[in-house]
Amino acid sequence: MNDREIIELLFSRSEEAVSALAERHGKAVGRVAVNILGSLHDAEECVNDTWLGVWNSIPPQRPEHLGSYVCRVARNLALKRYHSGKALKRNSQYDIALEELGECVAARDDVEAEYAAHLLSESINIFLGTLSYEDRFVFVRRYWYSDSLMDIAKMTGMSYNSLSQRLHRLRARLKKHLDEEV
Amino acid sequence: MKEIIISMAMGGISSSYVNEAAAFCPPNDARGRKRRRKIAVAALVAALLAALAFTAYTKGFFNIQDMEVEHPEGWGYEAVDTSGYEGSPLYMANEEWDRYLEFCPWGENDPQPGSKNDMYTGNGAYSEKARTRLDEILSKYGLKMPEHYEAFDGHKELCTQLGIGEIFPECPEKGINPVYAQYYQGGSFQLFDVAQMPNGESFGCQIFRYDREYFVKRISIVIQWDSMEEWSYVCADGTELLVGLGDNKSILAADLENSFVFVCLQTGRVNCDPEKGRDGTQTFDKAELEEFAELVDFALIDSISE
Repeated sequence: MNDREIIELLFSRSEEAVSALAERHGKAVGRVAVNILGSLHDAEECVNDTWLGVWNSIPPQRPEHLGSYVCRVARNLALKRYHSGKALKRNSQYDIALEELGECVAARDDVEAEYAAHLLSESINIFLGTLSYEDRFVFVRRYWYSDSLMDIAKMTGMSYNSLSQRLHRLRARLKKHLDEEV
Repeated sequence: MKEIIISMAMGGISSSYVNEAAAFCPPNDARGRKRRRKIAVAALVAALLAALAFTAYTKGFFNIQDMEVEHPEGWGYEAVDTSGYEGSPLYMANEEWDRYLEFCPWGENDPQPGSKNDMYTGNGAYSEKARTRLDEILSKYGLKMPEHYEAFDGHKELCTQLGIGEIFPECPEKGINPVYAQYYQGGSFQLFDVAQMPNGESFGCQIFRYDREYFVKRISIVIQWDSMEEWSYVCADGTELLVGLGDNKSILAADLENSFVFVCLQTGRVNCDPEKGRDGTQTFDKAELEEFAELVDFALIDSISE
């Protein structure tokens, strides 16, 4: 069943939509959750919450890309759980990825967090637009999906070392980009 | 604090990048870049053609392809817009609103504390800025926003009023909605139910009425329109229809005076075996589809105003 058909099922309030969602997007959603939470048990609960969140938001929403939409819902729920202190901290791919990106971003105590995040988001989007497809792919997989280097290396066929170096160069480019924008 | 900011900022990166990274394309990068450039150019051309289509739109004979929903990145399957033909005000307003929702800057359309839950939020406009943008689009295409919508209650009575009571004999008297139905102030409605032919055959059926004066967010339906057999059919009461018979879905579309009415039947010519199909339904042929068309009182549906 494709995304459009799943959305139709959601609009028609058919519970079949949930199993179709799980079948089509369960793997990706589970990966996002476990990457952030670092615990299979927490991730499992997060995945179930994700289906409920999607069920409650479609309708009225009708996302163009259901895959990224459900991953976004899962990511938000996983982060909420993470920040609420329920998750196993300092041990997930998310923590490591966050630390890596932390090198690129200067502390901004002069503005509110939400506003600073908004500005940073816009800058990162501009930065992503300047990257090649492969660079953008590895960056988003690492820092949005919080995938491990090993997993990304497997996906792309790169060696672990060359991927690590590529990400290092990308972070340096991001830092330069952000410094220039400030 | 810095970690939270980074976390929030990464959450705001464009959906197109997130979606792009959902699956890795083999590193045939030159071809990939060319394809993306081609898609970008195609999107611009589509936008230009759409703009031209609106200026050229007049009621007349269209085919199913004229309801095709375009998407710059491609969905990988075919879908049609149930709200009307390309170039009609409602089609264009929906196109423009969808593009806004897809590409508006991060944070611009976030729900605000204490924001109202009304028809605007029902259409995806959560912030004042988005509401203003939607108002601009409606004004541009001469459309009004319905004041409210509601789920059908007293289903059977309403189906009877719509002239489709015979097709949906199983509608409960009140309360429980068998599938899904919404009725909008102004006369637009969406109804998904199980229809039944006089000979007892039953199949899933969706009926949409989009009033010409009001904006309702369209519903797109996955249909392999290019493999459909399509023809025009004039009902006994003179209503002209565009009819399409597909493998597992069939459609009726009526571009009427006050509304656009779209009917999608979840059955077609090779949906199932001659005796009983995989969904418990039987196949349809051209004559049966025309017979079904006569069961729907399109003139009555078109006359609904509130």
